[in-house]
Amino acid sequence: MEFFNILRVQSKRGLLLATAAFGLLGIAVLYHQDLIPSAWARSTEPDKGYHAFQQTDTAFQTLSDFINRSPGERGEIDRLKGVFTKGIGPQEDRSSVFPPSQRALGKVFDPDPLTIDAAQQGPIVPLTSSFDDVGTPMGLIPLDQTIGGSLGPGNIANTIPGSVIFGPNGSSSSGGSGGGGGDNPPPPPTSAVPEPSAWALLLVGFFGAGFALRKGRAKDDRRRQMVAS
Amino acid sequence: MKYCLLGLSVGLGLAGALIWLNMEPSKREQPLRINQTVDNNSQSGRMHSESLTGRAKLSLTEARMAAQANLMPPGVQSVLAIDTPLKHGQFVWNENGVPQASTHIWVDLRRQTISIFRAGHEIGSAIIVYGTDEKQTPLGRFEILSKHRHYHSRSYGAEMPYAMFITEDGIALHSSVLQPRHATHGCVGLPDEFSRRLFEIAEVGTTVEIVHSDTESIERHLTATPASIH
Repeated sequence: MEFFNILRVQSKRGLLLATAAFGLLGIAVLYHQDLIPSAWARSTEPDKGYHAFQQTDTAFQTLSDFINRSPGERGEIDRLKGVFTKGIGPQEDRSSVFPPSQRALGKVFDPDPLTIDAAQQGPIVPLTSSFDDVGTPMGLIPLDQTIGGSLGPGNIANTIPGSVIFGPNGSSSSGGSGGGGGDNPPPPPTSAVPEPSAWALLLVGFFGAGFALRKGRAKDDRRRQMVAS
Repeated sequence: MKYCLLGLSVGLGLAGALIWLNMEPSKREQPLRINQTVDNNSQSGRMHSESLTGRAKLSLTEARMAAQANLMPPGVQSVLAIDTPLKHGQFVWNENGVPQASTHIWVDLRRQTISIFRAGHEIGSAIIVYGTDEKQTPLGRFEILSKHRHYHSRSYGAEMPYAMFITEDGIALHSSVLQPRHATHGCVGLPDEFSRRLFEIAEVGTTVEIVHSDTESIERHLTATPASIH
């Protein structure tokens, strides 16, 4: 509550100063993050040490034009970041040259269903009724995978293409770990950089919290007044 | 509170506008092509006639002086007629009527320009960006060692479309963002469309010459020599 009392400044000048400071802080942060285009932030200086080639003799007009088509020598340049950075100056967007035809989500790729079908070469036949000691399902075995000889069901199942293997109870060394990977792929990892919507939500949250606190304080004040009266 | 909200909204608006501006440079940097249909014969004060549209013929004296000043390779007969200074991102391309022959790429770091010559005629010219003082673009005569239409540099984490490598240690001519204050790590950056056209005609083995021209020598020569001699 003390904090909000500080904010409740009576003089308008103080508030204006605070607003200006906030704006300057925002601009400074943006500038630091290279979010301000350098051409906008710093006025482009004229290139140094080069004056247009002066030529009055028409006999050399072509050569003069050839020289004068240059914008001049390069002047001051923007600083280069380190060697292993994303580029020079503001982030370059080169996607307009070669627009991407595909989009990958966090390097997680869906398995191609066609290749799984080709590996199985037939329908999935569960062998639930073939064995007495039926355990937990161990996954799908592709046709070309050999299974260790320690497990009877595995050997039998190996002869049936695309069958579901059930290992015995308590067995963890079954060869059923291979498979077509029919499960859903894991969700893509969360990006380290928040999306714009996340920032917007954060701001909305701040506003909401501020509003709630303010409302609460007003209620407290009214209650205090009622008690005092 | 009212002022706080006002400041917040203004700040947010400013930040949004700046971010939007920052996302737009590729659109704002679209190369502008200079209209090459201008007939220079009709322009006043031009002594040399143009056999091809948009092209200015060089006299033998001019060609010799230009070659001595490292402005172009020896034996050039005509250059593109460009009356105004080009800006970053602009380029001119005109190969109408120029016979098929080997291409000669001429990069002048001092004038920040590239010129493409074929059979003694200039067919393309653009403003370039090149390496910083710390990571200089090498001078000399090179050959294109390899061409890569879609090249992504892992060293710099940057797209380098239409990359044409001229050294073993990664110096290339490639498409780049063209800005006056822009520099590279040693490569020669070209406008997108220009690099695409150059990529189409350049072959592995095409000569690339990177020079630092000396226009003062021409100026000295002209001030010392009366024009009536020519």
